[in-house]
Amino acid sequence: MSLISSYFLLIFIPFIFSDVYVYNDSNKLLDDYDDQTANFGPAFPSKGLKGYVTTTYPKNGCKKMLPPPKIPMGTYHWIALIPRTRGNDSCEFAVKVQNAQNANFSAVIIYNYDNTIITMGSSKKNIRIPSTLITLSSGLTLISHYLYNKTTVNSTPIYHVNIITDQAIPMTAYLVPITVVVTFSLLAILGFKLVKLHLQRRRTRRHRLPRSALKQLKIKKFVKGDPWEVCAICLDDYVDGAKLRILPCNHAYHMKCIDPWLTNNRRQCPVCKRYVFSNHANSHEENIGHPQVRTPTEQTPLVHTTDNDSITEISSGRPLLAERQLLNPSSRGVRNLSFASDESSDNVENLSSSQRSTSVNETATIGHVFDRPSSNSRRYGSINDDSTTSRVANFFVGSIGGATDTTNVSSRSIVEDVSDIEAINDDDGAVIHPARTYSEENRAYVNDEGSSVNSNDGYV
Amino acid sequence: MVVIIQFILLFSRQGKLRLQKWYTSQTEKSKKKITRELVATVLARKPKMSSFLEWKDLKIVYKRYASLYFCCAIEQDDNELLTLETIHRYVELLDKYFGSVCELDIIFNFEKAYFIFDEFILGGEIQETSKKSVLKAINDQDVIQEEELEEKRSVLEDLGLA
Repeated sequence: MSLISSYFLLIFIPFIFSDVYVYNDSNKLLDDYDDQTANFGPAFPSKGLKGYVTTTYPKNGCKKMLPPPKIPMGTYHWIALIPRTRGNDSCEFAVKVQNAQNANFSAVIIYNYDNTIITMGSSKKNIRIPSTLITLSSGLTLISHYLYNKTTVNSTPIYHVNIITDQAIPMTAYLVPITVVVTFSLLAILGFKLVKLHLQRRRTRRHRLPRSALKQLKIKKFVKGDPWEVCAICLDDYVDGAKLRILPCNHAYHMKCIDPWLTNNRRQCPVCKRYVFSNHANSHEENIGHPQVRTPTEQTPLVHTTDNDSITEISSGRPLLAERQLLNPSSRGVRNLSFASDESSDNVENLSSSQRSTSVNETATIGHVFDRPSSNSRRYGSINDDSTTSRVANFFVGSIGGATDTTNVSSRSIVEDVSDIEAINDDDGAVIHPARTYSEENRAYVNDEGSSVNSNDGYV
Repeated sequence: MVVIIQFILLFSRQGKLRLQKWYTSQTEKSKKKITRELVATVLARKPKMSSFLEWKDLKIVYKRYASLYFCCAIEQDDNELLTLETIHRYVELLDKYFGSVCELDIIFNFEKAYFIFDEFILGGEIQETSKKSVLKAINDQDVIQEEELEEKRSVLEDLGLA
């Protein structure tokens, strides 16, 4: 109980506390004391009550007392300093204040007999001057230093005292910025939340399927013998005649179950997470079917080889075509085209050595084998950059060595034969290079096209 | 007209550096920095964008072949089309040597790719325009390597170790 009351006191004290300030004649603040105004009589004016402090006669103020000295006061008032007393000569606070009021004092400061501060209480009604209580030490300091001094009757007293109550005014002064800050932060939080909500809504809407797109999905009436048995959403077995929606991944659901999912949640199959429409990202499987759209991997040949037809298509109508056909009468695959210079020299050489031609065929076949990415993967396995798979890939290095060895051997035999007809070769090279560069440039372009389709699919 | 290539970088679509060749002296740190910045710049470009870009006081000529970017840096007043042709010639050389070259060939036989570089370009200038001569030199190297291997093998066999 006492705890609670002291707690209440603690809460209340800051509201009733006022302060007693002591100034000298040049208005310099010299001292201040905590005090507690009485709960009777009027409150101190909010601007403060300025005045001179003087002791009274009789000192304890329990009887009718002498009025304060008469000096020019201006805006100053007389403040009576009266001790709180114990024992025989004690009397009520209100009596002291009443006496001071009758003796023409404007306010009363009562100092306690110990160093505590209490709230003075009384039931008297006819008290018209404010009063406050300070501690004993404060009172003694006031008496010893700052009392109105009788020797200075004709001049302005040195010290004066201002009693100010700490009222709700500073509270409102604090309240305004606090409310401003709080409102601003609340508004900021609100705005942030709104923006977040908006973004989230937009994101979810993007994930959702528009109702109009539902029409493009297949609907089927369930008949016995269909491969589907149970709806994965409502877990009910399909009965004959139930309307099923078949997603492109060949998963079936009740129409009434899947439609809200697609339109309100995401445009994915709830079971396999595949997007209902493949133009959305994540339709990886589709791409694999079409080599043109495939993302280039480590195994993709850098110089892209396409069909024979497409090359003729690209270069048809160009003057270079005839020239190339002259050089490349066999009109083999594109693969051979990049070996065109070999082959043309080949034609010359064929007359001199038959062994040469076989070796070239070998090169060509090896080239042909390399053309297919599948054979590349046979050579290297699948390679990724993490160590585990690269170890697997290293396992294949041996076989690569073997593969390249055969290439080397064959090309070496080319070189041996070529050496004696180098002059012719160089001439050939000069003619061939522009043609070949052109066609291969084209092929590289085709390749780039393919990759650009890919990057649109969100693989970059 | 001679184009002096400052450096050549080969990197994958994932930004992994595959081959690098520097024809100007650079500290290891600045090499790393240049590589990092350039890879980021080039990879950020869309496929339809130009193959030439100005980068600092250099001109970058790059071309993508399947999964691999070939990237050359040249001076401002050098010919970028010639550089593009140089890149393509190098790719042709690789293609001819490896036979339908792919990135894996370059990863596993990077030393061969470097040998081809050195035969083809020296000090940033094209050294040998004839593909035939370049390949002949590389094949000669391979022959020597092969012979040495043979020798070692025969020595081991003589000792009864193999």
